[in-house]
Amino acid sequence: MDALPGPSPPHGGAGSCGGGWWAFDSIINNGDAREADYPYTATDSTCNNSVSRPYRAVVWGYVKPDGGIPTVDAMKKALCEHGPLAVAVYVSAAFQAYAGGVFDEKITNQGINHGVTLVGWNDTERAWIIKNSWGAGWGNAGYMHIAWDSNNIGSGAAWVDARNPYYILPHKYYELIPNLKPFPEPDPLPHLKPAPHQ
Amino acid sequence: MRRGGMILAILLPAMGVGTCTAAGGAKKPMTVGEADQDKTIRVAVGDEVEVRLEAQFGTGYAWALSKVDDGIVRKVGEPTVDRSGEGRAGSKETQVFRFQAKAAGETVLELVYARSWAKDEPPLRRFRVKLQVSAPPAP
Repeated sequence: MDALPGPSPPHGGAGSCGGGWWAFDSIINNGDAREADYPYTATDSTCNNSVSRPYRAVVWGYVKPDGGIPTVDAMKKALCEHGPLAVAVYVSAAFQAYAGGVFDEKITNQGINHGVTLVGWNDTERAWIIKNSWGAGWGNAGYMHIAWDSNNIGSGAAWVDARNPYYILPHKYYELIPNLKPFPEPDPLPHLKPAPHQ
Repeated sequence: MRRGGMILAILLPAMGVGTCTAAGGAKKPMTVGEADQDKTIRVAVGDEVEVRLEAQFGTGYAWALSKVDDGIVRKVGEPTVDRSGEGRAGSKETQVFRFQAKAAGETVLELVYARSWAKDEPPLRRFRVKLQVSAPPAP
Protein backbone atom coordinates (compact mmCIF):
# COMPACT_ATOMS: atom_id res chain seq x y z
CA MET A 1 0.00 0.00 0.00
CA ASP A 2 3.04 2.25 0.19
CA ALA A 3 3.28 2.60 -3.57
CA LEU A 4 1.40 5.83 -3.10
CA PRO A 5 1.78 7.24 -6.54
CA GLY A 6 0.13 4.33 -8.28
CA PRO A 7 1.83 2.43 -11.07
CA SER A 8 -0.60 3.45 -13.77
CA PRO A 9 0.39 6.22 -16.14
CA PRO A 10 1.23 8.82 -15.02
CA HIS A 11 1.53 7.55 -11.47
CA GLY A 12 -2.22 7.02 -11.28
CA GLY A 13 -2.71 10.75 -11.22
CA ALA A 14 -1.88 10.67 -7.53
CA GLY A 15 1.61 12.12 -7.67
CA SER A 16 5.07 11.43 -9.03
CA CYS A 17 8.45 10.10 -7.92
CA GLY A 18 8.70 13.36 -5.96
CA GLY A 19 5.71 12.51 -3.82
CA GLY A 20 1.98 12.25 -4.00
CA TRP A 21 -1.11 11.10 -2.25
CA TRP A 22 -3.14 7.89 -2.08
CA ALA A 23 -3.58 6.24 -5.47
CA PHE A 24 -6.88 4.54 -4.64
CA ASP A 25 -8.73 6.14 -7.55
CA SER A 26 -6.18 4.50 -9.82
CA ILE A 27 -6.70 1.14 -8.11
CA ILE A 28 -10.44 1.50 -8.66
CA ASN A 29 -10.04 2.49 -12.31
CA ASN A 30 -6.95 0.56 -13.42
CA GLY A 31 -6.28 -2.09 -10.79
CA ASP A 32 -3.17 -2.92 -8.83
CA ALA A 33 -0.34 -5.42 -9.33
CA ARG A 34 0.92 -8.21 -7.08
CA GLU A 35 3.92 -7.05 -5.05
CA ALA A 36 5.96 -9.94 -6.44
CA ASP A 37 5.20 -8.81 -10.01
CA TYR A 38 5.91 -5.12 -9.38
CA PRO A 39 8.04 -4.73 -6.25
CA TYR A 40 8.78 -1.41 -4.60
CA THR A 41 12.35 -0.40 -5.41
CA ALA A 42 12.62 2.97 -3.61
CA THR A 43 14.19 4.47 -6.73
CA ASP A 44 12.91 6.65 -9.56
CA SER A 45 12.03 4.62 -12.63
CA THR A 46 9.56 4.64 -15.50
CA CYS A 47 6.18 3.01 -15.06
CA ASN A 48 5.77 -0.58 -16.22
CA ASN A 49 2.41 -0.45 -17.91
CA SER A 50 2.48 -4.04 -19.11
CA VAL A 51 2.39 -5.62 -15.67
CA SER A 52 -0.79 -7.47 -14.79
CA ARG A 53 -3.09 -5.61 -12.35
CA PRO A 54 -5.57 -8.18 -11.10
CA TYR A 55 -6.66 -6.40 -7.94
CA ARG A 56 -9.20 -3.63 -7.78
CA ALA A 57 -10.72 -1.48 -5.13
CA VAL A 58 -14.37 -0.47 -5.17
CA VAL A 59 -14.45 2.44 -2.77
CA TRP A 60 -12.21 4.36 -0.38
CA GLY A 61 -12.47 7.25 2.05
CA TYR A 62 -10.67 9.26 4.69
CA VAL A 63 -11.23 8.26 8.31
CA LYS A 64 -11.47 11.95 9.17
CA PRO A 65 -13.35 13.72 6.38
CA ASP A 66 -10.79 16.56 6.06
CA GLY A 67 -7.87 14.10 5.76
CA GLY A 68 -6.38 15.15 9.09
CA ILE A 69 -5.29 12.93 11.96
CA PRO A 70 -8.36 11.12 13.34
CA THR A 71 -8.90 10.41 17.02
CA VAL A 72 -7.50 7.15 18.34
CA ASP A 73 -11.03 5.76 18.73
CA ALA A 74 -11.99 6.71 15.17
CA MET A 75 -8.89 5.02 13.80
CA LYS A 76 -9.55 1.84 15.79
CA LYS A 77 -13.15 1.78 14.54
CA ALA A 78 -12.04 2.21 10.92
CA LEU A 79 -9.47 -0.58 11.33
CA CYS A 80 -12.14 -2.93 12.63
CA GLU A 81 -14.60 -2.00 9.88
CA HIS A 82 -12.26 -1.93 6.87
CA GLY A 83 -8.98 -3.63 7.80
CA PRO A 84 -5.53 -2.04 7.40
CA LEU A 85 -5.43 1.72 6.80
CA ALA A 86 -3.14 3.89 4.70
CA VAL A 87 -1.57 6.57 6.92
CA ALA A 88 1.15 9.16 6.52
CA VAL A 89 3.98 9.92 8.94
CA TYR A 90 7.11 12.05 9.18
CA VAL A 91 10.30 10.00 8.68
CA SER A 92 13.42 11.31 10.41
CA ALA A 93 16.88 9.81 10.82
CA ALA A 94 15.70 8.23 14.09
CA PHE A 95 12.68 6.70 12.33
CA GLN A 96 14.98 5.19 9.71
CA ALA A 97 17.23 3.79 12.45
CA TYR A 98 14.35 2.15 14.40
CA ALA A 99 15.22 -1.39 15.44
CA GLY A 100 12.57 -2.26 18.07
CA GLY A 101 10.52 -1.07 21.03
CA VAL A 102 8.02 1.79 20.86
CA PHE A 103 9.10 4.66 18.62
CA ASP A 104 8.15 7.89 20.38
CA GLU A 105 9.75 10.83 18.58
CA LYS A 106 7.63 14.00 18.67
CA ILE A 107 8.46 15.93 15.48
CA THR A 108 5.12 17.53 14.65
CA ASN A 109 6.21 20.70 12.85
CA GLN A 110 7.60 19.05 9.71
CA GLY A 111 4.40 17.75 8.13
CA ILE A 112 4.68 14.28 6.61
CA ASN A 113 6.91 12.62 4.03
CA HIS A 114 6.00 8.93 3.95
CA GLY A 115 3.07 6.53 3.71
CA VAL A 116 2.76 3.28 5.66
CA THR A 117 0.10 0.70 6.43
CA LEU A 118 -1.49 0.79 9.87
CA VAL A 119 -2.36 -2.78 10.81
CA GLY A 120 -3.19 -2.73 14.54
CA TRP A 121 -2.58 -1.24 17.95
CA ASN A 122 -1.37 -1.99 21.48
CA ASP A 123 -3.34 -0.27 24.27
CA THR A 124 -0.68 -0.99 26.91
CA GLU A 125 1.98 0.74 24.84
CA ARG A 126 -0.47 3.38 23.55
CA ALA A 127 1.00 2.66 20.15
CA TRP A 128 -0.01 1.82 16.59
CA ILE A 129 1.50 -1.13 14.80
CA ILE A 130 2.54 -0.16 11.28
CA LYS A 131 3.95 -2.10 8.36
CA ASN A 132 6.59 -0.31 6.34
CA SER A 133 7.65 -0.87 2.75
CA TRP A 134 11.38 -1.10 3.43
CA GLY A 135 11.59 -4.89 3.70
CA ALA A 136 11.86 -7.30 6.61
CA GLY A 137 15.41 -6.13 7.37
CA TRP A 138 14.11 -2.84 8.77
CA GLY A 139 12.67 -2.34 12.26
CA ASN A 140 10.91 -5.29 13.84
CA ALA A 141 10.81 -7.62 10.81
CA GLY A 142 9.49 -4.73 8.70
CA TYR A 143 7.04 -3.48 11.37
CA MET A 144 7.16 -0.67 13.94
CA HIS A 145 5.29 0.13 17.14
CA ILE A 146 4.83 3.90 17.10
CA ALA A 147 3.28 6.03 19.85
CA TRP A 148 -0.19 7.38 19.01
CA ASP A 149 1.05 11.00 18.90
CA SER A 150 4.46 10.47 17.31
CA ASN A 151 5.65 12.27 14.13
CA ASN A 152 2.15 13.04 12.78
CA ILE A 153 1.31 9.36 12.42
CA GLY A 154 -2.26 8.99 11.17
CA SER A 155 -2.23 11.99 8.83
CA GLY A 156 -4.48 11.35 5.85
CA ALA A 157 -5.68 8.05 7.36
CA ALA A 158 -7.73 6.31 4.70
CA TRP A 159 -9.51 3.00 4.29
CA VAL A 160 -10.03 1.16 1.03
CA ASP A 161 -12.33 -1.75 0.28
CA ALA A 162 -11.12 -4.32 -2.22
CA ARG A 163 -13.32 -5.67 -4.95
CA ASN A 164 -14.55 -9.11 -4.12
CA PRO A 165 -16.19 -11.75 -6.34
CA TYR A 166 -19.05 -11.89 -3.87
CA TYR A 167 -19.90 -8.23 -4.38
CA ILE A 168 -22.85 -7.45 -6.57
CA LEU A 169 -22.01 -4.16 -8.17
CA PRO A 170 -24.82 -1.84 -9.25
CA HIS A 171 -25.22 -0.97 -12.93
CA LYS A 172 -24.17 2.58 -12.13
CA TYR A 173 -20.74 1.32 -11.13
CA TYR A 174 -20.10 -0.24 -14.56
CA GLU A 175 -21.25 2.97 -16.22
CA LEU A 176 -18.82 5.04 -14.16
CA ILE A 177 -15.89 2.72 -14.81
CA PRO A 178 -16.17 1.73 -18.47
CA ASN A 179 -12.87 -0.18 -18.57
CA LEU A 180 -13.78 -2.44 -15.67
CA LYS A 181 -13.03 -6.01 -16.68
CA PRO A 182 -14.64 -9.13 -15.22
CA PHE A 183 -13.16 -10.24 -11.92
CA PRO A 184 -10.19 -12.55 -12.64
CA GLU A 185 -11.35 -15.27 -10.25
CA PRO A 186 -14.21 -17.59 -11.28
CA ASP A 187 -17.42 -15.88 -10.33
CA PRO A 188 -19.03 -18.00 -7.59
CA LEU A 189 -22.46 -16.52 -8.08
CA PRO A 190 -22.88 -16.04 -11.84
CA HIS A 191 -26.66 -16.13 -11.62
CA LEU A 192 -26.58 -13.02 -9.44
CA LYS A 193 -24.36 -11.02 -11.77
CA PRO A 194 -26.13 -7.92 -13.03
CA ALA A 195 -27.25 -8.05 -16.64
CA PRO A 196 -25.23 -5.89 -19.04
CA HIS A 197 -26.57 -2.42 -19.16
CA GLN A 198 -28.79 -1.81 -22.19
CA MET B 1 34.42 57.86 -12.52
CA ARG B 2 34.97 58.06 -8.82
CA ARG B 3 31.24 58.45 -8.25
CA GLY B 4 30.56 55.36 -10.43
CA GLY B 5 33.01 53.39 -8.37
CA MET B 6 31.22 54.41 -5.22
CA ILE B 7 27.87 53.28 -6.65
CA LEU B 8 29.37 49.90 -7.58
CA ALA B 9 30.89 49.56 -4.14
CA ILE B 10 27.43 50.01 -2.67
CA LEU B 11 25.57 47.87 -5.21
CA LEU B 12 27.82 44.83 -5.52
CA PRO B 13 27.59 43.64 -1.92
CA ALA B 14 23.84 44.26 -1.99
CA MET B 15 23.63 42.02 -5.11
CA GLY B 16 25.66 39.31 -3.39
CA VAL B 17 28.51 39.74 -5.85
CA GLY B 18 32.11 39.58 -4.77
CA THR B 19 31.43 39.09 -1.10
CA CYS B 20 31.19 36.12 1.22
CA THR B 21 30.86 38.13 4.37
CA ALA B 22 27.59 37.98 6.23
CA ALA B 23 26.19 40.84 8.23
CA GLY B 24 28.09 41.14 11.44
CA GLY B 25 31.37 40.21 9.80
CA ALA B 26 31.14 36.41 10.06
CA LYS B 27 32.16 34.65 6.86
CA LYS B 28 29.35 32.74 5.14
CA PRO B 29 30.04 29.06 4.53
CA MET B 30 30.79 28.02 0.97
CA THR B 31 27.79 26.05 -0.33
CA VAL B 32 28.42 22.86 -2.27
CA GLY B 33 25.80 20.65 -3.96
CA GLU B 34 25.35 17.84 -6.44
CA ALA B 35 26.47 20.07 -9.31
CA ASP B 36 29.93 20.12 -7.68
CA GLN B 37 30.37 16.34 -7.85
CA ASP B 38 34.08 15.43 -8.30
CA LYS B 39 35.16 19.07 -8.32
CA THR B 40 38.02 20.55 -6.35
CA ILE B 41 36.92 23.08 -3.76
CA ARG B 42 39.51 25.53 -2.45
CA VAL B 43 39.07 26.94 1.03
CA ALA B 44 41.29 28.43 3.72
CA VAL B 45 41.77 27.19 7.27
CA GLY B 46 38.83 28.35 9.35
CA ASP B 47 36.40 28.45 6.40
CA GLU B 48 33.16 26.53 6.58
CA VAL B 49 31.74 24.39 3.80
CA GLU B 50 28.03 23.57 3.67
CA VAL B 51 27.06 20.49 1.65
CA ARG B 52 23.40 20.45 0.55
CA LEU B 53 22.07 17.23 -0.97
CA GLU B 54 18.58 16.17 -1.97
CA ALA B 55 17.16 13.19 -0.08
CA GLN B 56 13.88 11.31 0.05
CA PHE B 57 13.56 9.96 3.59
CA GLY B 58 10.37 8.09 2.78
CA THR B 59 12.41 5.62 0.75
CA GLY B 60 14.54 4.75 3.80
CA TYR B 61 17.59 6.35 2.23
CA ALA B 62 19.57 9.24 3.71
CA TRP B 63 22.98 10.80 3.16
CA ALA B 64 25.75 9.94 5.63
CA LEU B 65 29.37 10.96 5.89
CA SER B 66 31.55 8.20 4.53
CA LYS B 67 35.04 9.62 4.18
CA VAL B 68 37.04 12.72 5.14
CA ASP B 69 40.40 13.35 6.78
CA ASP B 70 39.16 14.95 9.97
CA GLY B 71 42.63 16.29 10.71
CA ILE B 72 42.05 18.62 7.76
CA VAL B 73 38.27 19.07 7.62
CA ARG B 74 35.90 18.34 10.49
CA LYS B 75 32.11 17.91 10.57
CA VAL B 76 30.33 20.64 12.52
CA GLY B 77 27.31 19.38 14.49
CA GLU B 78 24.69 16.99 13.18
CA PRO B 79 23.19 17.32 9.71
CA THR B 80 19.98 19.33 9.48
CA VAL B 81 17.01 19.05 7.13
CA ASP B 82 15.53 21.81 4.99
CA ARG B 83 11.91 21.30 3.99
CA SER B 84 9.36 23.60 2.50
CA GLY B 85 5.63 23.30 3.11
CA GLU B 86 3.81 20.47 4.82
CA GLY B 87 5.12 17.89 2.39
CA ARG B 88 3.46 14.89 0.78
CA ALA B 89 4.05 11.21 1.12
CA GLY B 90 7.32 10.56 -0.71
CA SER B 91 8.27 14.24 -0.86
CA LYS B 92 11.90 15.31 -1.06
CA GLU B 93 13.97 17.29 1.39
CA THR B 94 17.48 18.73 1.51
CA GLN B 95 20.04 17.38 3.96
CA VAL B 96 22.57 19.95 5.07
CA PHE B 97 26.02 18.99 6.37
CA ARG B 98 28.50 21.56 7.66
CA PHE B 99 32.26 21.17 7.77
CA GLN B 100 35.11 23.39 8.89
CA ALA B 101 38.62 23.45 7.49
CA LYS B 102 40.99 22.83 10.38
CA ALA B 103 44.44 22.49 8.80
CA ALA B 104 46.17 23.02 5.47
CA GLY B 105 46.15 20.00 3.18
CA GLU B 106 43.99 18.06 0.78
CA THR B 107 41.24 15.53 1.48
CA VAL B 108 38.40 13.80 -0.32
CA LEU B 109 35.03 14.43 1.25
CA GLU B 110 32.62 11.60 0.48
CA LEU B 111 29.00 11.13 1.47
CA VAL B 112 26.91 8.10 0.60
CA TYR B 113 23.16 7.80 0.08
CA ALA B 114 22.23 4.53 1.73
CA ARG B 115 19.87 2.76 4.11
CA SER B 116 21.49 2.80 7.54
CA TRP B 117 20.25 -0.66 8.52
CA ALA B 118 21.16 -2.37 5.25
CA LYS B 119 24.88 -2.73 5.81
CA ASP B 120 25.29 -5.29 3.02
CA GLU B 121 23.65 -3.13 0.35
CA PRO B 122 25.91 -0.84 -1.67
CA PRO B 123 25.00 2.86 -1.49
CA LEU B 124 22.54 4.08 -4.09
CA ARG B 125 24.59 7.24 -4.74
CA ARG B 126 27.93 8.75 -3.78
CA PHE B 127 28.86 12.40 -3.55
CA ARG B 128 32.53 13.34 -3.67
CA VAL B 129 34.50 16.56 -3.73
CA LYS B 130 38.17 17.21 -3.20
CA LEU B 131 38.85 19.87 -0.59
CA GLN B 132 42.11 21.81 -0.88
CA VAL B 133 42.70 23.72 2.32
CA SER B 134 45.25 26.49 2.27
CA ALA B 135 46.89 28.17 5.24
CA PRO B 136 44.96 31.19 6.47
CA PRO B 137 45.98 34.47 4.87
CA ALA B 138 48.56 36.40 6.85
CA PRO B 139 46.93 39.01 9.08
